[in-house]
Amino acid sequence: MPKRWASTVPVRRFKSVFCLGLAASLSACQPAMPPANLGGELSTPATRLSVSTALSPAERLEHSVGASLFTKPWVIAPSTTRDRDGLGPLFNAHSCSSCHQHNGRGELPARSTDQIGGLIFRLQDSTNSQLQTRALPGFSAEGRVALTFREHPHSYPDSEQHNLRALVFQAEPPQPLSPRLAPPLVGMGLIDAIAASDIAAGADPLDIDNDGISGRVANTPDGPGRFGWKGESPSLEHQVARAFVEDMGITSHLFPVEPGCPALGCSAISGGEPEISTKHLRQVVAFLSALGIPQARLERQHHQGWKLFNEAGCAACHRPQWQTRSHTNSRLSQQTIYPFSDFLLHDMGSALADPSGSADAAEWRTAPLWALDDGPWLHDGRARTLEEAILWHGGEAQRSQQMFRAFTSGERQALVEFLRAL
Amino acid sequence: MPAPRFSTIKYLTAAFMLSVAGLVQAESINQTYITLASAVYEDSLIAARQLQTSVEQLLATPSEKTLGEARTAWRKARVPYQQSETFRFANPEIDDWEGGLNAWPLDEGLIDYVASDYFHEMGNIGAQLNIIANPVIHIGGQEIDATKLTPELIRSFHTFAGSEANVASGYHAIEFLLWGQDLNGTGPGAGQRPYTDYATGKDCSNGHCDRRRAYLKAVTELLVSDLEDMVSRWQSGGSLHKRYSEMTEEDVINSIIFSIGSLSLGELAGERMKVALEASSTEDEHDCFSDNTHYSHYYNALGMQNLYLGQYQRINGDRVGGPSLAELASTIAPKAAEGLRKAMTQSVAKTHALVDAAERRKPLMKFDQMIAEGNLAGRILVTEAIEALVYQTEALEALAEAMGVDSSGAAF
Repeated sequence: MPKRWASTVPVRRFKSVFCLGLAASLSACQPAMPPANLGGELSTPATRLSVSTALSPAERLEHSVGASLFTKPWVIAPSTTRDRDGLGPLFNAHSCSSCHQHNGRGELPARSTDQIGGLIFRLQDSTNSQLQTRALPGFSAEGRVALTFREHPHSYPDSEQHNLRALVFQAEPPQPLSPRLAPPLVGMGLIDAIAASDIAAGADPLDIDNDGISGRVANTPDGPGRFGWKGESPSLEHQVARAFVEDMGITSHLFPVEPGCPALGCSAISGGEPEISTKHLRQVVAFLSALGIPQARLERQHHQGWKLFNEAGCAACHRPQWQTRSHTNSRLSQQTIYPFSDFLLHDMGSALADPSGSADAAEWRTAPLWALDDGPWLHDGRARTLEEAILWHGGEAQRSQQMFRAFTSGERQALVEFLRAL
Repeated sequence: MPAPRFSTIKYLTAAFMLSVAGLVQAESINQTYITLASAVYEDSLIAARQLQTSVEQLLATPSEKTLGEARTAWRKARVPYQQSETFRFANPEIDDWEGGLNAWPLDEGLIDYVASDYFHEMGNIGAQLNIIANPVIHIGGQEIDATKLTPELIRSFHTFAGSEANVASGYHAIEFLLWGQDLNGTGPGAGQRPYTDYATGKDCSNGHCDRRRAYLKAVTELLVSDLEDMVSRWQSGGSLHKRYSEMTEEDVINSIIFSIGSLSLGELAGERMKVALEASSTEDEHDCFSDNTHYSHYYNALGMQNLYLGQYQRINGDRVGGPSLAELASTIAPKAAEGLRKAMTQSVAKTHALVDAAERRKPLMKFDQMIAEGNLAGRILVTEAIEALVYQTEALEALAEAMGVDSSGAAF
């Protein structure tokens, strides 16, 4: 039985190992292992993504409205549930939590978009809009997508076998689509609190330092992006408002027009102008910013994996440590955090390439690695295991992927175990 | 604490004496937990069977009287069940099971007719199904044969199409079938379903009475069989009995603290009261068809106190119990233990104030009226209950800290 409560799990802390004397002079100094508290003051021993117990009960209670707006289904307007009406006319889901269950990562629907899951599809045309797979009565959904899987045999140089799974989509009506899985909502407020200039400082679009890594800042119409698979959103509030309008057809002050409107005649089902008030939108943002970051379970045994993580160059893009800027919310302010991302776009090679969004087809924003859960991983949820996820890496990550493939079986396992302990 | 030998003798003696009197006295915190959980689920089953008998009488001779009796039986069935919820949050096994019994809010259009101005959760395709009116259900190009309304069929519609509002079974589905929609908003009055909705032949109101009768019969059967299942899990050899027998005492204490914390703050104070209050939303009212919400909240609070004090008064008046967290805590962290005891007394009193306002003090004020915008007296009552539960959670966390127990994760 999976443990869903954390109170029985003792807090384990790892004593940092600093490189000493001779070892340091012989090779690049091995950075100290990340601490248990990856999310600064918001870190919590809880394994589930819930409002951090670093907050007092009275503070936590204040987030119950945001939690409810996130969890409970939105309804058609007008309705007696005034604060939660305005769904559609076109939508993919009726609540945030139907894709982000327990505030976590989406799951793949069993067979098609007819079932609830955490997968949406973006159109590969100039509109760059999202396929609306559900509709209110009197309106028509834009289409549905069936999915099947294909196995790709893969063997390591040491001839160990680890197959890769790919997803095959069939759209009705047929059209090229870009699948996107709902990401887990870990440390969103902390990521939001990193200074844009700090992210930009890490960019090296022309690879002037000649390390083979050429991250660039995602340029969006609303500023430098950091949220979303291709860095489409510059801020958490923007990302949440975008999800409300694109996934559920809920307008906000940031996105006053919902998919299909006004062409479809939307005024009769309007849940207000906007449908989610700015106050409520910010309550959802505050709720997400209050979610605890599960503590890393790093022990001495993970040291080898951490070493290999650095040796393979993973940390070049999956940058471990950041310092957040000053913030009015003290728990987001000046925190030392370990999200394991540089929040930049990188060429990830042709196997993952997928046109849509402001980035190039092969470009993806580095996915954070804190609180890695049970998957599935990657933008379309194709990876069942972390090994699969690593093996799909190409482009700028090709060299690291090859080093991983060349590791011994034990080394590969050690790296994966390190990631699982984050 | 007395020397172990004496305490064992004391408990053994007590167990013997009390068992002669037909009562149960547990010998350890583990056993107390099992004893309380077994008793409260057994009571829920007994009360659900009484509800089933009343429903059968309603169906045999539909009348104002038999409908009234079925409603009374439903209210009584809620008494032990709401006290059981405190066992839910630390146990994923119970939490997963309970969705079929107690899920809410409910999109009633899935089950039966609704007022023409009823706005359901659209896009939730289930909300337009009206299973009672449609022996064949067309959905997404599929055709579902619903000619025979069996418990299995009802179970298959539950959380249909992944929407949590598609509640086809459980207490609230039965509540809707007995009361109908409460169309009074935040004004006085509960649902007004006529008994003739269950009449046969030409007396039938609102159509499809045969199917409504079949639905009510099947959904009540399902409630009883679900509770039978949970009772068996707590009996000797059952999964939860085994789990709580084998746990360390520390893990049981963790489990008690975690579940009380979760129910106290995130669920009862937050989801069930604060959100309803802030949105003035009757949709967020827990027992919204019957206007029984005040009792639901009170029995939730009482259930938490029971678990802490290691005691439970059964529906037949018997008392069961045993060594408790309160007792143990009073030896390790007496100040914090006393703090939590007082806080729990207060939250039981403040939720009971909701009961007093709804049942005794004239004019009666139900929970949906209390949360109305501008009802200062009502909103103060609810706010005080919320504050008592927040204070209780703080006291619980203080106790956990004083005892060296990690209570984190008990949020929402």
